[in-house]
Amino acid sequence: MVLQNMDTMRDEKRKAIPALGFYPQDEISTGTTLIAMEYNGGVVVGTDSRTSAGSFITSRATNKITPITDNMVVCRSGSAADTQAIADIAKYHIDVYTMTENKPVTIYRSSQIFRQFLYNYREQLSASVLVAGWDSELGGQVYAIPIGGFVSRQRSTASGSGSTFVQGFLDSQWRPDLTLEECKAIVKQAVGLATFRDGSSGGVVRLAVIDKTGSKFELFRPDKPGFPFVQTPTPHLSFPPHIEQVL
Amino acid sequence: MNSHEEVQRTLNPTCTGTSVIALQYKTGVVVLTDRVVSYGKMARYKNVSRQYKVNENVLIAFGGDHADFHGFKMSSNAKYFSGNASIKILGRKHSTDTSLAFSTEGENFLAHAIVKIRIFRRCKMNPVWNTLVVAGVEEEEKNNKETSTPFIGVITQKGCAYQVKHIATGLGAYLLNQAVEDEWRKKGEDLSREDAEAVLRKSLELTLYHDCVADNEFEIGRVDATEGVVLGKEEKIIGDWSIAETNCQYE
Repeated sequence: MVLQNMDTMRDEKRKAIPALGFYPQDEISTGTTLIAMEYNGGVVVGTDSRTSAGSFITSRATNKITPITDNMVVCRSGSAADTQAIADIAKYHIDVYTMTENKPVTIYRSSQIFRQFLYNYREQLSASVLVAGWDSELGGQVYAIPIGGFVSRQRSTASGSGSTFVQGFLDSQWRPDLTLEECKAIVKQAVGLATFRDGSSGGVVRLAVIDKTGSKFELFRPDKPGFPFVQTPTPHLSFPPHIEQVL
Repeated sequence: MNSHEEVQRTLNPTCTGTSVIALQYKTGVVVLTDRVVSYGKMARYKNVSRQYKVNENVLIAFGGDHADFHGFKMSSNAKYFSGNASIKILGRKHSTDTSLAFSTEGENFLAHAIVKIRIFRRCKMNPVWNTLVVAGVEEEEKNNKETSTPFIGVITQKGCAYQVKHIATGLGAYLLNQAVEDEWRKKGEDLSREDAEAVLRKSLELTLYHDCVADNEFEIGRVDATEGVVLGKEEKIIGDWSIAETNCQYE
C-alpha cells in the first residue's frame, strides 16, 4: 500500500510566491467525525470540534452542527468554506419555502434542497453533509449526503475522516428500538473513539438531540467530567529490556 | 552501514513522530516528546517512546520517521553509540566551521558521524527522515561536576547541525520557539529543573491545541550533571477547553 504523504503531494503543485508564502496552500478542511442516529421520537447527532489545514489545527473548538430550522440541523464535513456556503444558501431557500407555504418544510424536502446544490456543483465543491431533524410526517430522520450528492436515509451513520474508525463500532452497537439515552451514549462514545485515533478529529464533543420540541445542544469538554472515555491498554516497553526503561 | 546498494526508501515517511521540545536548565537539559506513532494522520500506535539513552551523558530524541531512526540506530550501534562519549563543541577549536558543529575527541564519534552520514544520504536522495535532538552534559574537566555544561544539538534531515539553548522541532518550531524563548529570557541559565519542566508542559499544551498529530500523553526525559540520563515517566495533559463554551454558529 502506498501511503502518499500530504506534504509530498502538495509539493508538486506548490510554488513559492512572495506575498503568500506557498501557493496553493493546504485547504482548510473540517477533517471531522460526524455521527448521527435515529431513535424513536427524534435524532441524535454528535461531532468533534477540529478544523485543520494540513497538520495545523486552525480551530480547535469549531461548531460543526449548524441549525437550519428549529427542528433540523446539518452536520458539515469536507472543505470548511464550501460547507458554510452551502449551509447558508440552503437555509435561505428553506426559509423562503417555509414562509411562502406557511408551514415547516419537511426534512426529506430539505435534504433534496441540499442535494440540488451538492449535486449540481459537485465538481467545484468538496462537501459531505448529514441532514438530521424531526418533522411531524416521518418523525426523526437522518439523510446522508456524501461527496457527489447522493442522498440516502439512514438509521445510523458516520461521516468525515474519523468515520472510518468507528463504522465497525456503530454496526456492532445498533439494534432496533434504541432509547434516547442509549443513542446518546453510543454517539458520544463513537465520537470519542474516532477522536482517539484520527488526527483530523479532536477537541470537544458536541451533541445535539432533535425531537418534536426542538433542538437541544450539549457540550462535552475533555477537562470536565462526561467526556467519552477510551480505555487504553497498559503499554509494553518501547525498547528492549536491556536498554534502561522507565514506564 | 551497507550504503550503496540500498533500496531507495523514505522519500515518503510513513510512521512518524511530531515535535521535540528541549530546554537547558542550570545543571542539565530537559527534553519533551509525546508517545504516539502517526500513520499519516491516524494515531496508529500509542505508548511508543521517541527518546533514546545513548550513554550516561547523552540522550537523543527524534521526530520524523520511526523506522529510519531505529534502522539508523541499529546499524550505528556498535560503532558510535557505546562507551562514554563526551561531546565537545567544536567551536572551541575551529570557530567558524558550522558544518562540523559537533565533534568528539577520542575514539567515540557521535554527532559528528551522524552529520556526515546525513549529508551523504541526503545527496543520494535517500535521506534519513529524522530531526534529531541530541541532549547531553559536557564535562569541562574530567569528573568535575561543577563545571559541567548542558548541551543541546539539533541535526536536521539534510545534515544541517547546530547548537542551541532551547529548541522545538516539527510543527512545534512554528508554534513554540517564541514561547519557549520568552520563558528562557526570564531566567536564562538560572532555570531550575522544575521551572524548565513547567515551560515544557505549557508548550505541550500549545501543540495539543494546534498540531493534528500531537498526542496528550508525553514523557519528559532529562540529562543532569549529577544524575546522568533519566528517562521520563508517562504523563498526561488535557488542556483548557473553556473556549468551546462560547462558540456559536460556524467557527
